[in-house]
Amino acid sequence: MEIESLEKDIRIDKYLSSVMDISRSKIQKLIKDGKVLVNGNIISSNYKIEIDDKIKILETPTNPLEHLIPSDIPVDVLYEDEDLLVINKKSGMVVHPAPGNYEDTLVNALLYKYELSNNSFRPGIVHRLDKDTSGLMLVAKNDYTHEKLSNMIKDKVVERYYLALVEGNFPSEAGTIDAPIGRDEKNREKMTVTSLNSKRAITHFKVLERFNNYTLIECKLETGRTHQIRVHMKYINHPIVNDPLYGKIISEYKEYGQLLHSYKIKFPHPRTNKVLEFEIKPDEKFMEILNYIVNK
Amino acid sequence: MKKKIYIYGSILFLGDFLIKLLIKNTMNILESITVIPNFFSITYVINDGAAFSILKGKQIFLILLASIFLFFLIYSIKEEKLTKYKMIYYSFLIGGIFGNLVDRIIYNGVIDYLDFQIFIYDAPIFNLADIFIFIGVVLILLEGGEHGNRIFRKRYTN
Repeated sequence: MEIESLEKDIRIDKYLSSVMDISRSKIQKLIKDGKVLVNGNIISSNYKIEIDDKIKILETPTNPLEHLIPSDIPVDVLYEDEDLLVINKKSGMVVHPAPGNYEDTLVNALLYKYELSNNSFRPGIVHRLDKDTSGLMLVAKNDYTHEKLSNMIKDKVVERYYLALVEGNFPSEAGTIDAPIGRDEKNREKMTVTSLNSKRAITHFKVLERFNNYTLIECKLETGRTHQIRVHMKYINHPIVNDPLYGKIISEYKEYGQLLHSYKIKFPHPRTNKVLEFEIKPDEKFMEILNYIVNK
Repeated sequence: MKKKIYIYGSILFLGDFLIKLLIKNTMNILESITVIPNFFSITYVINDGAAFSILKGKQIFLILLASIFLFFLIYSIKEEKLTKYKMIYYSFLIGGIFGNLVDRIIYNGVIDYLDFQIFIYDAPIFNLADIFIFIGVVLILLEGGEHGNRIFRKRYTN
């Protein structure tokens, strides 16, 4: 199989391992055996990829693309043109296939109806939302848009705003959390604020509404680390309500997960540069849980 | 000469203060205005220093820290023999530190708005007062370098 790289300055073993969902050691073995060619040449694992590199994998343990079966699952599409989609992802929906879940992800649902950028193992996906996070997401329909949108997200040109219901009361009306995030060594499923193998992470927030012991806040991210808002809110002792990983679960609603919703997105269209802005309210369940907990 | 430091410092402070006031009265918190696409925006945020959330009553701590530093600066200005060079960096430091200190006292956090993309990767949103402090510190470091060189030369050329 052959793929064209859309990113640069990343080690090839790391890149292939993330786009193919195969372990890094398996990729390194393939490279060592000369089964991976870049622009026709054998390379070593520490080769840094360039944009448009043609990567040819002569032998793959399993072909993850075979798992990408289109599934007839409804997707809420707010905007569509020939380049991109703006969708409202439901809470509980996984964004892309991974071991154990190859059929009912957002990617499978989108493939049923739409043509997506196809030069990556995650067609159309330029950024992610956690499984239980709902709200607005951009999807690329062709490779040109995929590359443009990826760079725009990296360069903070795409503005994304989130709503979160968190525990406790804030002393101030707004604030900034600037604390590095890395993997939690005690629990590899979790992320945490740490100085070890971490990256700078910055979250800005403002208070929208104060309830007895709970606060509804709006967040804007300057960086996009895994679980960033959830980890940062836990770090300042205001974990997101119903967060199974970082906060307390409400047993009646444990299926729903954290009350975190991507509610506004603003970006210049990658082809026309016309600024597009979308807003979507959280779903009814979100509001039901909010009402339940603040009136308890 | 010493009076001049406070005059220049006040002018710098006032410039920073008025821009912050303008931002506060015309924009919503978290709102962004694109100035140069893909490079520079004005984004209104308030930095309450939550990176130091381990410290209880952090605003008071940060206010105290800045106040102590200001007193130290005023003391140095009083005691030191001033050159024009020193005057410049003292003015920047006084203007900058005072600018952010006043924010912490009246807004419970610092108003930041200069938002660069790509150029300074991972740099947070900052403000004019930060630039003043940065200039002041760089000038001190450059002076120290020169000063150090002179001592070095004296010791090893004699």
